[in-house]
Amino acid sequence: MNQKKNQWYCLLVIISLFFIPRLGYADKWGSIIIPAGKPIQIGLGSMLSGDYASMGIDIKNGAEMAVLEKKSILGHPVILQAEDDGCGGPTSVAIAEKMCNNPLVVGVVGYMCSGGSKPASDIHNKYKVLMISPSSTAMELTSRGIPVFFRTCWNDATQARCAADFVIKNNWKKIVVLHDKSDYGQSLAHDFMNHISKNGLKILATEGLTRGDKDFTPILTKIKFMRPELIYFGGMAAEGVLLARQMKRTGIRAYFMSDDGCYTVKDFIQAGGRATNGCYVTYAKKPDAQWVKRFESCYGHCQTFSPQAYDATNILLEAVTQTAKKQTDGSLIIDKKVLRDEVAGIRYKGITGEIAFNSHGDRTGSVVVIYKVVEENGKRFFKQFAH
Amino acid sequence: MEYLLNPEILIAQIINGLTIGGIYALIALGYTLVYGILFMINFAHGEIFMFGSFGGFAVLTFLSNNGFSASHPTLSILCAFVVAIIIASSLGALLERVAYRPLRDAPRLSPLISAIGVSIFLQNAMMLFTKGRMQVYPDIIPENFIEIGWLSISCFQISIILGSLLLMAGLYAFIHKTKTGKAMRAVAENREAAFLMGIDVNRIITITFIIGSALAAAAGVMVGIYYTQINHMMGFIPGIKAFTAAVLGGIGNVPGAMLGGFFLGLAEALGVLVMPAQYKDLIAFGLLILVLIIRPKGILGEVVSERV
Repeated sequence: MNQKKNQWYCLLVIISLFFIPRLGYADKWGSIIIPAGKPIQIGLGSMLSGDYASMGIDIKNGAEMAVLEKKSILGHPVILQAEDDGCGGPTSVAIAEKMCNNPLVVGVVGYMCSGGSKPASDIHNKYKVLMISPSSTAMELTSRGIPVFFRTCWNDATQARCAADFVIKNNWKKIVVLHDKSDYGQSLAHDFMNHISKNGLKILATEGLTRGDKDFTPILTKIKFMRPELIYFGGMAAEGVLLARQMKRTGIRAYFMSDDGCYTVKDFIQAGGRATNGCYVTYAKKPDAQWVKRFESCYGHCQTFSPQAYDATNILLEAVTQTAKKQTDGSLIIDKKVLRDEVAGIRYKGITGEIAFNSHGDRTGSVVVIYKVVEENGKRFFKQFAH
Repeated sequence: MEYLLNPEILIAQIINGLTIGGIYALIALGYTLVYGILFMINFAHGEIFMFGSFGGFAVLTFLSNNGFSASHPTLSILCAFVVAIIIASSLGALLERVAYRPLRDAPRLSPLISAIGVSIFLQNAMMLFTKGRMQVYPDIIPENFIEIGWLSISCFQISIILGSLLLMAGLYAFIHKTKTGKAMRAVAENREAAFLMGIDVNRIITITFIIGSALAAAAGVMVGIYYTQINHMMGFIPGIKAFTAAVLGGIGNVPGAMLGGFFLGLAEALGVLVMPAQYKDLIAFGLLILVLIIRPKGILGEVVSERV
């Protein structure tokens, strides 16, 4: 009996030993040292191959443009270290470990998808490396008290509220909600429904579909039977565009509304053909027109989050410029805590508008608006809707 | 459940199910033909389907860029099918020669592993070639709809169902009415005896791969035109589903694969009516387990179980 008790004590001691260094670790921010002659690296994690690659490459282009324009900080060249995180949990975690253990990385622009940003932010918090996501909109990212997470995009609640208000204004009463079962799509759909039902409207049905699936006619046939006026979809363009096409195929005459995931000319408007005419999406106000011209002369069509990525990169670069201290041997020393506080308190005039962060890392005062796909003079594009 | 009592929604779902079922059946035939003769599962078959689809995509993109498809839409689609079939058939024959023939007398596990290796190789080759980006088939012919009251049926769906039935009828006639078909049946029955009777077994096996691949390529182009999006991973899920269909019908059994394909497509479409759409894949694989428990040799039976 006594021996057994001893075993328990041993176990307790071992477990508490396990915790002691960790507690100490969490308080330590430390600093980044860039040796003389070494470049300052800006990390980037987005999907560079696969179904949503055009969105990921667009983000990379935005960040790259900012880095190329900045060229150097205090004599150290700035380079972009881009990695393909596949928009998913496990890969994003692996990339986050890689980024955080790279001594030259001052911060990461990313990650692209909420499902990747969430686990990655835990890794970043462990090493206290900054991350500014241009595109992860899930609510829980900023509600978990992670001090190193910021975003230059909006959150799902803002976006879902904008969509829901529009629905209420148009007096659409029969609504079906679809999502792609991802963190992103599901939380959007959830917020949208919350807002709708708060205003006394009813949702006819909610259904999930699988990312990568191509055949949605069975589920749409079922929905058609409910005679909805609006189908709201929380998800990405690859599935959204198929829904729009197959809605026409099954003969549903409802409006289709989706989120920023579908705000891409290539994967939504062009891939969908005429079937996407009249579809609504929610997305930020158009960025600075001058900038768009400059961007498009280098990279072609501006897709979705390149403006947010450009601003995120610039904020990171600006904060590094403000906080880096040059040593006598030519190396740079950047205190991580000071760098973080600089970003948290920044007032930055970006191409997507004035940027400041609230205490959770969410952007204050960013406005999402409604766009509609229209065809005018043979050109099909997203037209900002009256607001 | 109220949906099941509504004849219109039932008819619409049956057409949806037959459309995807026809595609499953065409791919399943490739699995079953090869299994019938070699007793191996060609796991690279989904990738042959993918290559066929990309072949059709290349042709249609080329023809739509130079404006030919606008004036001759039917001819361009025919071209796409022919080129896709040629590409996929050559690939199938090549795989057989390079990856399977050297292993024909090896233990049964070796060709299976070789097939999985080939499958991963082909996926990655196409990923590097397309940079992993999704490709979109151009719109060659406008999609017309037949509307009967509440029902709306796409002419694409009708063409896929009829096209797949036609190809299957052609295959059935080929196997049962021609000399080569007879030789195929003989090799499937007993390879050594067929060899002793003077049948060139290697040639028959190559022909089997070519026919299976051609059917997959036809399915690939149909998928491209109907669903419009293709990428390097597109062969994986249909490949697994078609394999399920082949096992459902009784692997090695040609009418079984056809039946299995349509059965699976219908089960998926009708299953959505009684349970949430999230469970679509669950229906397919649940059915597979169920059939294997109740009828281990598949619905129509034949050689299964102990092999592979």
